[in-house]
Amino acid sequence: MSTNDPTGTLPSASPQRAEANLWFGMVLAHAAAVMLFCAVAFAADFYRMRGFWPPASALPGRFIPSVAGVLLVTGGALLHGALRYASRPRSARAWLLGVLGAGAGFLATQAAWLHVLWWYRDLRIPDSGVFASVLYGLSAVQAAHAAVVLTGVLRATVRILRGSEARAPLRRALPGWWCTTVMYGVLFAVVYLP
Amino acid sequence: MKPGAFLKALGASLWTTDPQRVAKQYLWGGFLFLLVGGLLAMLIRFQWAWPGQPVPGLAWALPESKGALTPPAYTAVFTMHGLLMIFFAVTPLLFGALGHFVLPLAIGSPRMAFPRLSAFGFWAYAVGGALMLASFGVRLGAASAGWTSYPPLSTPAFTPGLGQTLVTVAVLCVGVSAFLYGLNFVVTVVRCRAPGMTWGRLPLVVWGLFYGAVLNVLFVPVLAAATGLLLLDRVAGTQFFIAGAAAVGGGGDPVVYQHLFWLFGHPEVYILILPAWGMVGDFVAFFSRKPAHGYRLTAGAMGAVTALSGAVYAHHLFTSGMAPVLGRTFMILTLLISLPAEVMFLNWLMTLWRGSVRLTSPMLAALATMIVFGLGGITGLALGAVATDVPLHGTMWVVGHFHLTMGAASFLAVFAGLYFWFPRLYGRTLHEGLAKAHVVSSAVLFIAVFGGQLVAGYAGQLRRLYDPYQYTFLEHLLTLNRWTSWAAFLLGAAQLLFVVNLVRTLKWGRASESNPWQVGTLEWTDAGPAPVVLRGPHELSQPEVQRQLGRDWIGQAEPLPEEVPAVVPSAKVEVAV
Repeated sequence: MSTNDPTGTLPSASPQRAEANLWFGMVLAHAAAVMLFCAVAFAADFYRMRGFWPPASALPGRFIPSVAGVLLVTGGALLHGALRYASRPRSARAWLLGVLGAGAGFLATQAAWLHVLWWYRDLRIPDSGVFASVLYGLSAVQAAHAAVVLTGVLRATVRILRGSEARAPLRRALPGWWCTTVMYGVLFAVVYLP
Repeated sequence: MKPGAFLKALGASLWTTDPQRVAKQYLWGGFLFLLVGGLLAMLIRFQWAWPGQPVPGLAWALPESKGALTPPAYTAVFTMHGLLMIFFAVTPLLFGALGHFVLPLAIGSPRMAFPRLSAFGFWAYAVGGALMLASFGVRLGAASAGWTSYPPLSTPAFTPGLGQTLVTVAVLCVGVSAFLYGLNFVVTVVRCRAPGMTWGRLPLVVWGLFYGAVLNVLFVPVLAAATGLLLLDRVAGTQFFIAGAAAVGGGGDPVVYQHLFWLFGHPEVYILILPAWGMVGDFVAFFSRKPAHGYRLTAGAMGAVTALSGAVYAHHLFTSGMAPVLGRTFMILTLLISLPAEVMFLNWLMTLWRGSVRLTSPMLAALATMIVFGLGGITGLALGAVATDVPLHGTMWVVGHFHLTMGAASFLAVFAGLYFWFPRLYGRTLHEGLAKAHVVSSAVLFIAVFGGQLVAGYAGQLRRLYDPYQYTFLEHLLTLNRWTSWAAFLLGAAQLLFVVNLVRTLKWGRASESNPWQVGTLEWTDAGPAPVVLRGPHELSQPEVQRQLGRDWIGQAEPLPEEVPAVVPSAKVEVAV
């Protein structure tokens, strides 16, 4: 007794069907990532309500985090453009390189900013209490999600550079990108706004 | 066989994407942890019956105390018992083993939507299990902060050493596994059903697995957040849950962990019980030889429980300093969730009513699941209401209640499923007499053991006490606890009936018939690799079927000889008739 396909000879699902399955799976995975992020954000909000938060004057500046946010939004807009031209590899290539630049720029900006906070503003763990824990914890979760989405875009770019059709992986990356952007918005509101 | 070919074959059998082989991997993994968790339960019961006395045969593990459980060993034992049973035994047996086995077969899909996720999921579970077992051997011992791992107990200040950290990582691993099969199940049910397998034709067990999988996808990430933050507190010096004197620079709040943990933990109860309810619904219909009464209402009630399950968690925090208005809100929501459960129970009773009941081993196990879950549910009402929860919170009443619901009911449901699908899983028939004896003795002894815990809790015995009788007001409970412990040892011994049956069947068992239970669901009726489903799962004792086929069941994809093909619109059928 074995599966409905004991010999493994049944044809695989059609590419369209497999793609639809994958897209649905990706949406669920992003929903799970949002739940994880919301749980951490809930913890942060709890600490704010309980007053375990530095006064507004002691919060780190907002300029560089805002630049990082703008990079994410720009990357999302460029990704829409890339999707529009996905069937024309030459046009899509430029858009995708822009997306990758924006995504890499976001991660680099975040890394540099957290480096500055840690080493030059003395916002360290554990000395800075729960605020620093929330700042670095939320940033790590969001950055991990952004890195996964960026890897998806990178794979699509490689496919396009090789001349393959890449509309499907780009379609999958799009909700992920906006998901990570919304996550960053929540992070910004929780950590940087008084 | 050449070494290279052997290694290749071994790799192929270990890294398998066939859902039925993955199911077997989970089955044996689940049995292993059920054994370890069960032995730990025996140690706990020994301690409550003969506190501080040497446990026969344990001197090799605890040489300094000559085999007696010391307080640190005792806390590690009950912590690991809970974690192993919930995360590594019952959940993987229900979802990993029975879920992977039955889900694709029952919906007529050749495979899971993402076969490689099944393999990844199993190996995440295996790594987690290995870490759990490894934690027994590290310096300062295994985790000892209780199965909930509440901080501040689970922070380095109170549980130093590698054991608690390993266990936290292990829970994260098993969370990854649960998330992966949850996602796989949801996509498989939504996207991979056979033609004609409408939502209204799904077996109830598929509904249960589907709802449980949805809860896994949504709430396991919350557990990941809680344990992830706890892990950071333990290894990276963050301050999420560290408060008071142990905190640096202000610190966080341990109550946040309680919120996050129970936001996952309460749905986890339903993750365990929804597939069990599905099995009960199906088996009661199959073995009463009747269509399931109120099929749509039962599926809807399971959906209502799923929807409400995330909104009731805070009844676990009634005594954690909650605002009264929140307490009342969560009390009402908690009590509300019993309504859909009642609908299901009534439907099962109505299905049994005037049925041609066949008391097979799966049916007995399903009925036992109903009874113990009913007892667990009723005793839970007292914990859902603020006024009665306050005195009962933290007592053995809670232990008895959740062991009846999460432990006994899920355990019996696992065996209901196992006895039902074993002939399909291994092609052999288990000995029915041994199976019935196993089910009945287990059910009776479960009620004795957990009933004893309820009584002890009602008498005021607090949970997790190393020696309850150091308090004068609990001294009189020694006799009760000794009797309860004897019942627990008998319960452990009763499992040998299953072991003997399993070994005997795998070695000498006769080949099973193709459809030994005479039911029409797709996993039994060999409808071919691409079935077209024509009817629901419980089409039993239909007069037309009996007239044409001479039997009381028909396959879901089996046309009647005189049946007009299903694709013909009903108007044309009338014309043709």
